[in-house]
Amino acid sequence: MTTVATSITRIRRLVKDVDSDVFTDARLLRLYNRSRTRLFRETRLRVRGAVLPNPSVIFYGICHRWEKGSVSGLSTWEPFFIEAVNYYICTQPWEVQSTVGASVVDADGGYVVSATHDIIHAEHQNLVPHVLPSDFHSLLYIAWQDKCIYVKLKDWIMDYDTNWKNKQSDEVLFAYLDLHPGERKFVPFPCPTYESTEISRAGAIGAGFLSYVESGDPDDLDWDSGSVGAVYDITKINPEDEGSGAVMEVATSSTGFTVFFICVPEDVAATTETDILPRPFRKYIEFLAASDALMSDTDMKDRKKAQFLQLRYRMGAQLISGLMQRLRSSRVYRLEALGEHLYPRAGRRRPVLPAGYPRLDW
Amino acid sequence: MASINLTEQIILEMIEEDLVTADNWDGTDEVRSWVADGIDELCAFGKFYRRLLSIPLRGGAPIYQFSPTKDVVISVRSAWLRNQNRTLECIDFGKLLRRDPRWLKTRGSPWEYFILDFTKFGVYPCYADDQDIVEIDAIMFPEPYVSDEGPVEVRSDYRGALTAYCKSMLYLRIPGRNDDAMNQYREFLSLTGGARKFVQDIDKVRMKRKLGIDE
Repeated sequence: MTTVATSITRIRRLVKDVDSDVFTDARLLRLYNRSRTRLFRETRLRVRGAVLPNPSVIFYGICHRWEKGSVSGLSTWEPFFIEAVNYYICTQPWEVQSTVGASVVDADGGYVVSATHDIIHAEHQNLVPHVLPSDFHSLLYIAWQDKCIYVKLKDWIMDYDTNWKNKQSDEVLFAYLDLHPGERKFVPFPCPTYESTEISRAGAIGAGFLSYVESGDPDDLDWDSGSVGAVYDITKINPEDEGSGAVMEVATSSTGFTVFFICVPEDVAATTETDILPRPFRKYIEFLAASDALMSDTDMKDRKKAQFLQLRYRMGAQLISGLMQRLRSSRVYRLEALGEHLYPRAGRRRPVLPAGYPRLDW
Repeated sequence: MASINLTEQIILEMIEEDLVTADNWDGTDEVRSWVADGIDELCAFGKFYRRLLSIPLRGGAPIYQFSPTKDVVISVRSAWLRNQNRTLECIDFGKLLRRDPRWLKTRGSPWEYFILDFTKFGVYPCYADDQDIVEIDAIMFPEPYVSDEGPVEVRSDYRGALTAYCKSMLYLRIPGRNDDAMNQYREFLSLTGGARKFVQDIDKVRMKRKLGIDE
């Protein structure tokens, strides 16, 4: 399998900078990644399935807004729920302990805690956001224990059941998405019952912040394996070892969420990596990256060539989208009776298979 | 059928460049990469490279993947269930979800298949245990060429289009030959047919150049 370095070399040839006099490898890799993301978003050419675990233990952490990457200067802290994976930063128990002191239950069933200088609000414990994989782009399907969940708006769920925050069940019916910038979460309703007992469930209302003390077995989940999608991905077989035509199966889970989604993969970190994009489509990325390079204010600037390469990219994107659309759309074959022009006598009319019907070998 | 070496030589002769002394590109590797790209592009337009893929079905596994490094499927002509001797029909994934929201749990002998992307497909319903084989008659991109003497699997009436594509890419590498590159690519599109819209797009690029303010 070719590495990204091959593509960088081809981009260099297109911009006539084979000796790296103008463009560094790092710069071309950035252009490559930008073009790659654009191609994946525009054509929606990759679908991925992932199994997200329902955590046995839920941790509650506190984090400044600036620690989540938002704008700084906000005086309030924002608590949030964390699954038992290493997703967000700043989840040290001492942070939670330092703010546990006076907590009261608010009208929505959430908690308000007064810390030294701040007032912290936590959502109700049944609103557990599940983090979608980091390459999530748009959703196709969610299932809980292999049964479909319908994605609705949050307002719709609130109208459906006014007491929805207090509901727990193993039959998850709906979910709403929380896709603010920087967020990729969904909240199931009713909240699924957790696999093991945890203190926040068993304890009295109002003791929510104490729930960071786990009572389940922390070895249930792999703590050091990074993001959710990386750990609970589909079971892959090394494609180099396989013959043609086979094979990967999705390991669906009877205890977790199965998600199918359009994915936009994360950037390639180094030129020594291999790209998951199929080889025949890689040239369109190279065209766009070369076009961007040729439009920059360097000695290599060539507007006409850049426009031509950009056009080649657009044609490629349209081609891929068209192929995808045709590939995914259903083909329903119906028996049809031919008209008078082929069978003039009514008595010879008979149903025939349509022209595009697949081959019949029996 | 011409070998890939011969194709490269013909293309270089047509643009009047010598393979050995040419200083505008990086030797045969570069020419070969453009030839491979041209073949891919032709396969996408012409859809003439077909293969039959036999995939064993596993119990409880509704989703399968083609080997991503070798087989990139452009289009599926038919799917045939070998032991049952019948064809599977293609269904849209969204339509399947609306019809059977619990499709992951449904078990039985498959009667439909769906495509998720260029490398993944699924059958509905899936078997409860390992049995049967599905034969997929697919239109694909060919594998990249590794041998110099390997035959170029392009239909004879598309040879001219392949030459035009490679000439277009090679002209892009020669200073001052951008117009020739566009002309050759336009030739490629007209020879492949069914790409009138793209030809018009190329004309737009040329018009932009002529009417540019800074020209």
